[in-house]
Amino acid sequence: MNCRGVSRRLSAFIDNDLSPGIRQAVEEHLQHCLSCKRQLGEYEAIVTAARDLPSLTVTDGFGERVAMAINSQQETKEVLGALRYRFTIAGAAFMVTSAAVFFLVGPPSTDVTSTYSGVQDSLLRQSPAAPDFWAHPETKVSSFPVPEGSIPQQAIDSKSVLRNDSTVRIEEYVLPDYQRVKETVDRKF
Amino acid sequence: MSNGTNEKGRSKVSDKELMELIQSGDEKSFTELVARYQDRLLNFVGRIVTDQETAEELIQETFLRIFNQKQSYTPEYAVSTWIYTIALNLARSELRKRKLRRFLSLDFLKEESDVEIAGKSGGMGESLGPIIQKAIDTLPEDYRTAFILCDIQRLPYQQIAEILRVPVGTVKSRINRARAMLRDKLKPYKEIYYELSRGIPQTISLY
Repeated sequence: MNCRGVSRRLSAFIDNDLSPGIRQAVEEHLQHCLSCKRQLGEYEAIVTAARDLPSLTVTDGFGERVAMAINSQQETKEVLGALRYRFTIAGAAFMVTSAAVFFLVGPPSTDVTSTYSGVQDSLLRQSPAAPDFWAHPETKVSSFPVPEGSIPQQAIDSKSVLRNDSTVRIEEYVLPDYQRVKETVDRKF
Repeated sequence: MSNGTNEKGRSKVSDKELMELIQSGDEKSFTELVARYQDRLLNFVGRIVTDQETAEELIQETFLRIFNQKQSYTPEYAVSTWIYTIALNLARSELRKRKLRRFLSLDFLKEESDVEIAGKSGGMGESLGPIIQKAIDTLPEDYRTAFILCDIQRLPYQQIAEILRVPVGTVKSRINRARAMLRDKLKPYKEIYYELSRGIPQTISLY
């Protein structure tokens, strides 16, 4: 076995992890190779130094701190468990109440018109004596106040303001103009 | 094994039996498990995160998870494998957080570690110990973890493979590579460890 082969097996050699045949070959090489022997010495020094590193020990009261951490965690779990229980009960009660309201009162309407009429109805319910707006004497169309003199006497006489006024306007202004235009056209052509 | 196991009896039971007791709700068995593993985990996690305070917090979190997930343990694996895996996941998560916070220099000689993990020691390791610890800290995470589990925790290859969830061949390769990297990093300190290697009984030494 050459130096390269031995060098890569030195770690396993230290751990006694080589098959007997290979171990023997490595040992034979080490008998006469100063370089590999020195390398083995370096590896062994490292391994021994690592194994001899001072053992670390936990600070005083470590066990108690672990016990306290576990107890504190248990308490937190219990509190959270109790809260979860309460929230569950409260949630269930809310659901039951909501369901009862839904079946007894009915679902809330989402229709705007019906909502409006609902509001109107509720207002009316609040004041059952509210009069019909259009039936009130002051808002009745028939009794709407008309300023005096705003309607020509002729129109009033004919009892139909719009029709008679229009008729008057046609007779007074449109027809004479028409006659004049017609006469002019007849003369020319 | 009943829940009424006394302290003495509890300290003699195997890890798996202890876990069965914990699963059945025996709190004192959990205290025994903490006592068994607290220092082992500190020597594992502490050398990965290189900060004892953070390591203790992570170990505390490890034990909390063990307690919360005790029913998820199955005797298919060793208890230690299960515990090491939980601790390793937490340590890796901590390292990921750190990576976001700062840039780690690969030059361990110029790097100033936040907290030095040093202990009281005597004998041959006294001079090389802090140097090798710094060198280990600068190894890439995969190699560092494999090296710590093998050479500090002294776990067998098979168990390391189960903890890291990689094939045994990968574990061997990582350990070999980690040792080679450490050898390169420690070249400036050759004198120290040549001196050390002379004192190692199993070394075939020419010096």
